[in-house]
Amino acid sequence: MYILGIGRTKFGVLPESIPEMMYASIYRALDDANMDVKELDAIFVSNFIGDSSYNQAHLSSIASTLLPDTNLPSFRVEAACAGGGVALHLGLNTLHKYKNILVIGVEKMTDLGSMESLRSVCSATDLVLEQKEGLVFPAAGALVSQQYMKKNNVLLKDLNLVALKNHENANLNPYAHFYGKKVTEDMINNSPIICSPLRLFDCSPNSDGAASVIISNEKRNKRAVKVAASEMATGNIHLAIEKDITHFPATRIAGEKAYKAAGITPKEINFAEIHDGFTAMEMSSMEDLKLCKPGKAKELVRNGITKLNGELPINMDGGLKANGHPIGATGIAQVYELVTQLRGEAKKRQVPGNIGLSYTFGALVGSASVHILRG
Amino acid sequence: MHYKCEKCNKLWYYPIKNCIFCKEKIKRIIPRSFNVKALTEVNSPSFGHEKVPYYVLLLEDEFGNTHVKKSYKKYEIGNELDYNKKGKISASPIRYDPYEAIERTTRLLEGFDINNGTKTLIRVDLLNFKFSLLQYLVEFLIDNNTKKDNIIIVYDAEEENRLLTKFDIGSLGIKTKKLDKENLHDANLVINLASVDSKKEFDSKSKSLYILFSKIRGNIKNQHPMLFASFNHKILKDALKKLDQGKEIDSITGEEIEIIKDSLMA
Repeated sequence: MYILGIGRTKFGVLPESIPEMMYASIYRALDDANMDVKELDAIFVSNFIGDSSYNQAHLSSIASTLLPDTNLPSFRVEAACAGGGVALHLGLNTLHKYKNILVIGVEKMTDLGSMESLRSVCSATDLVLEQKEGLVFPAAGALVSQQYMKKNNVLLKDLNLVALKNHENANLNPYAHFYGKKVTEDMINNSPIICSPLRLFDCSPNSDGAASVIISNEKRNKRAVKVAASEMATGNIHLAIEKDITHFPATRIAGEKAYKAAGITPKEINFAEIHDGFTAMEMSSMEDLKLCKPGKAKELVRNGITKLNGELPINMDGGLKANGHPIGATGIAQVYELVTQLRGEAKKRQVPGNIGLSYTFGALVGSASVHILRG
Repeated sequence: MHYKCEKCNKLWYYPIKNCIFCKEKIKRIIPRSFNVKALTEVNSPSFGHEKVPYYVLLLEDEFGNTHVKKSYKKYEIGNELDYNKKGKISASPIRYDPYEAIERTTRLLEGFDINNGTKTLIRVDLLNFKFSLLQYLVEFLIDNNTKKDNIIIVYDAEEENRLLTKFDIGSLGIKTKKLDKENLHDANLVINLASVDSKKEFDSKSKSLYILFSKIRGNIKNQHPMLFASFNHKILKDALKKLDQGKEIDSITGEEIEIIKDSLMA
């Protein structure tokens, strides 16, 4: 299985509509793959809140409408924040039927008010047991962060290091939501507390944006990147069901399956894109994915191991924190970054290595998707 | 409340009747005490949670299972949740399981004083009647040592036809009687059962609901008015607010209504 082409829009506050963003990313992916649109055989579209917030469902048909007279089979996928990764997983698993598949992720979020966006995103949690109890996502992230920090003696300063690193990386990524924004530790420490202990800079932003990849079983050119593994696992939608909310079985299982499928050990991963919806989650996920031992992520962060010039760069594109988090597109954008790195085309943020991992999750953690790509 | 298969040791947070793995009957696990395991102060308002700050507590019960709960009261990690406030009206939203709501309302009232000799009278408000709620209440009472023969369902005389023709009361195997002062005074425990399911319904029925709560009180001890809503917190909040404001009707008995609410309703 190969990624033949990639395309994305800038993430951030964009004036474009959902179809316009989708079209821009599709156009670039086809161009990147040097592929004619008529060679496509199927489409998968990841989107989360289009129907609940904009009354725009049926994005599979919008994708088809953007490619007139192709009449391709097209499927919409929703798995909260893991949607992009899950759409790619489904696409890769149908390559036995369709030769070339377009996988798109798209989200429009920024023209919703903060109250509306909190409500919409919260729809990924249990209506009765969580939403009615005021467990908005930052609150869930805060509970997880608090427990994780307490268990592992992680300090607020460590969370700051994660945010600072991801903003530094985003400043090398012209497509990033916060490209050009200089962030300092003082800014972080003076930012408002959203849900204690999480401040504004511990939370990923609402972003608009789209990303696309074209996948195939055929390696059509030298720039094609091999998909060594694509795995997905699910867990409980209700956070409180987990006895230990600092680590999540779905993440661990998806990771273990992916390493097995790729025939590698976690030590062989050279760099990774890891879902950092909340700064502490970047650290706890590194542990669940066995990129370090339990409780040791803080040491990697403190010692700069996860920075671009470190031994295990994490979130080279700025992560959800600073690249942005247009929910349906996020999982695809992570793969976009891995492909860019593996091709050696990441310019100032280029890191060495030939094996990259991406991980994204929906809710905490109801859906987990892991991809391993090899250059 | 949790649902556990004691054979497979699987746990659900949704009301499940039989285990999907081994087909065994599921046991309800009813926690009684809750400790604050983690908490966060939420400063961002959202729809349905406009008033900030509020707190979201991660509670651990005596079985080691955890629960998420909203509170306007500030707790510290390790604190025990304070449910111990006595009152005359107990209200709770129905989440997935009406049985849980009934259990919760009794906990808010420090539980019923029930033994196998307790004569219990359930007064139903037919204007807002939910038969399933009555079924669960009877089940709850029997689970808590009330003898079936000691339970009586009472109703206003003018509502007899509705009760007996619209609902299969007979299927409960419980005696029914028209409401009169005598059967009220004979009872050791009186439960006023009402539910509110829609704003429209509450607007049109609020007066009768209020009367239900107010006129039965007075000389009767051990009364436990209960109010439920089908997990629509806003409707229940509105209902409680209206009851709070209904002082002129309350003056019939000269008593002040003290409503004990699930902290969700605060």
